[in-house]
Parts: sequence; structure tokens; C-alpha cells
Amino acid sequence: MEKVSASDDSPYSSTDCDWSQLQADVLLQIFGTLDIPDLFSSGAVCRSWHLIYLEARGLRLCSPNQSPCLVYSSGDRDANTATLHNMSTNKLYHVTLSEPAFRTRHIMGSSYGWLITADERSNLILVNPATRAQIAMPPPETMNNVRLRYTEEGVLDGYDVLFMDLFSSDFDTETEPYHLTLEEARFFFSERVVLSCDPSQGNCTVL
Amino acid sequence: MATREAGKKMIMLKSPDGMEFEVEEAVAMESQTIRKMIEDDCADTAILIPNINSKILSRVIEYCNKHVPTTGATGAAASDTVAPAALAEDLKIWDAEFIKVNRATRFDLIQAASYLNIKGLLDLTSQTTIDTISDNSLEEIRSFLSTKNDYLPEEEQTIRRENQWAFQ
Repeated sequence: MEKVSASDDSPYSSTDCDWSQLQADVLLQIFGTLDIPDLFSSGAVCRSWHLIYLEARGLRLCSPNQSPCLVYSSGDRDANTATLHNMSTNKLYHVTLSEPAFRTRHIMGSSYGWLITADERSNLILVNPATRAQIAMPPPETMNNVRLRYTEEGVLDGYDVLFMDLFSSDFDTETEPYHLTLEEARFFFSERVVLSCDPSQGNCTVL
Repeated sequence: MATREAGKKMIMLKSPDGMEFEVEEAVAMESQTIRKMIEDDCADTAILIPNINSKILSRVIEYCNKHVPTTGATGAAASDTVAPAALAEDLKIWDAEFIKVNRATRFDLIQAASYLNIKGLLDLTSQTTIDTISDNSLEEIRSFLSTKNDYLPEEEQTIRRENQWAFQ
């Protein structure tokens, strides 16, 4: 009798258990609850898990209960690197993002796991630190009443905001345009940014 | 087989290695798969569970016995006096003991829970797997699950590079 119960835990039984063959739906359910770094690790365990990981990514099965992370630009890393500090595990992750350098950007806010940043020219760029995807918003000068302003040497210097004449719906040429430096424009043009949904799902409106 | 105790319908479950388990219908119906069979009248005699061996099936039945709503035979007397919260706490402790099994058994239990569609057991077994994965490095996950790495080194490098930051 003793022998039988001992064999229960013997390595013999684990030879016929192959975790790479775990049923896809069970694994999908498991993947759907993981923190993003754990999901990435799981996706690299073996080929069959990787296929299911890709399916989970395709189905956007990502746990909405991600641990909160503090995001900052760490002084001992290069300027393109964003450091994520997972508050619950106390782990640090260093994500290298595309240009423009993360350190030079101003963070306007965050939503659905995306950061809303403004670069030195006050262009809005949405960036997802987990996937490193970036979406550039139309620059300020695409607004009807905004012009780029150059110095006499032809160097970009700021923005001119033309005033509108409410009666003729045309530009008010009498009044001197409002001058903004490149950097202060972000506070002028975007006081607050709101995302209508997760931008990776497409069809997202940014206000 | 039909009625052993007054009012309690019994169901015979058969494992592919020839073992037979007589369980109360209520216990067997913890499995949505078996419930469907019973409701569709496909289960008047014995039900063959084709892919779950007797060792695992007996453990699954043990789980269902414990988790069947307390009108069942087991624990009926106790539940009248014990508060629901205490009962839930008791079940939690029991679950924690129940799942202290080796990797292979846990793997078989997940597969069985999935096939038989027993939500509680599936959640329990999945959670232990999630705990194994959570916060561990790739190498640790592989060794905990003794999953073989079937990548070529350069393939693994490519996959890691995609999300390099998560592997630091």
C-alpha cells in the first residue's frame, strides 16, 4: 500500500504530463488573467504556448486588472528609455521607446494603458509602453487658425494663433496673433486629453 | 443503481481503465458536461468518461462531493449549524489541501475539469498554474512545469527581442 502512494509522486507520472499540450481554451483563460510581463514570458515557453499567446494577443485577451506602474525616465538610462516600476511586485522594467526621446516629452496623462505625451514641439503622441506602439496626433499647425512662426534666420520658433472674427467667420487681421513658444503650446492647445476607447482597438476618438 | 437511498438518484461513472464509480446524481451534475447528458436523457445507464483515468476521476468525484450544494448527503448535518461564511472558509482550506498534488496530477485535473466542465475545479487548478507563472522568469516557468523548450536558440532570441523589456 505504501509503495503505491509513494509512486504517486514519483517522476514516472510527470513523464506523461506535457504542459505544452494544455488545452487551448484553458490556456487562453489563464493567459487572460496574467500581468503583461508574465504573459510575454508565457508566450516564450514553447512553440504551442506561443501560438496560443498569439491568439490571445489577437483576441485582445489581456487582463484589465494590471498592477499599476509608476512611469518615469531614469537618470541612469538613456533618454529613450521609460522605466516602469511595478508597485505591487517592486520590479523595474526598462522599455526603450522610439523617437522622440521619452525624457524630452511632457506626459499629459494616461488612459487604457496608453500614455499621452507631448514632445518639445507640443505635438501629441500616444504611446503604449507595453507594446511600444506609438500614434502621432496631427500637429498643432493643422488647426485652421494656427501658423508656424519662424525667426528671421528661418528657425522654427513657435506658433501664432490667429483670432477669428465671429461675424465674418474669417480671421481677424486687425488683431495681432497670439504668440506661443513651442513648449507652452501644449498647455494652450490641449488642456486635457480624453480617449474614447483603447486606441489599439481602432476607431478611437481623441479629444 | 437507480435508487439506493430514499429519493437519491445514483449515477454510474466509468473510467476507461474499467473502474466504476457510483455517485449521487447531484454530485455528478457538478459537471456541466454530465449534467447536459443527464438532462438530455443520454445517461440512463452508466456514463463512460473516455479520457480520464480512475485515479483522476476519483479525485474529481472527491472534489464534487465536497462542493455539491449542501443538501447532499455529505456535510448536510453540519451545514445547518455552521454559518455560510465559515463554510466557505472551510471549503477554501479544503481546496488548498486538495490541490497539493504533483505537477502531473494537477495537469490531469485541469484537463479533466475542462472536459467535464466543472467551473470551480477549473478555476482552482488554473489559479495554481497562474501562481506558478506569475512573477517568475521564463526559465523558472519552464522548470516548474517541466515543459520542454522546443525553440532553436536563435528563434528564442527573436521572440525575446520582441518584448525585451519583460525579460530583464
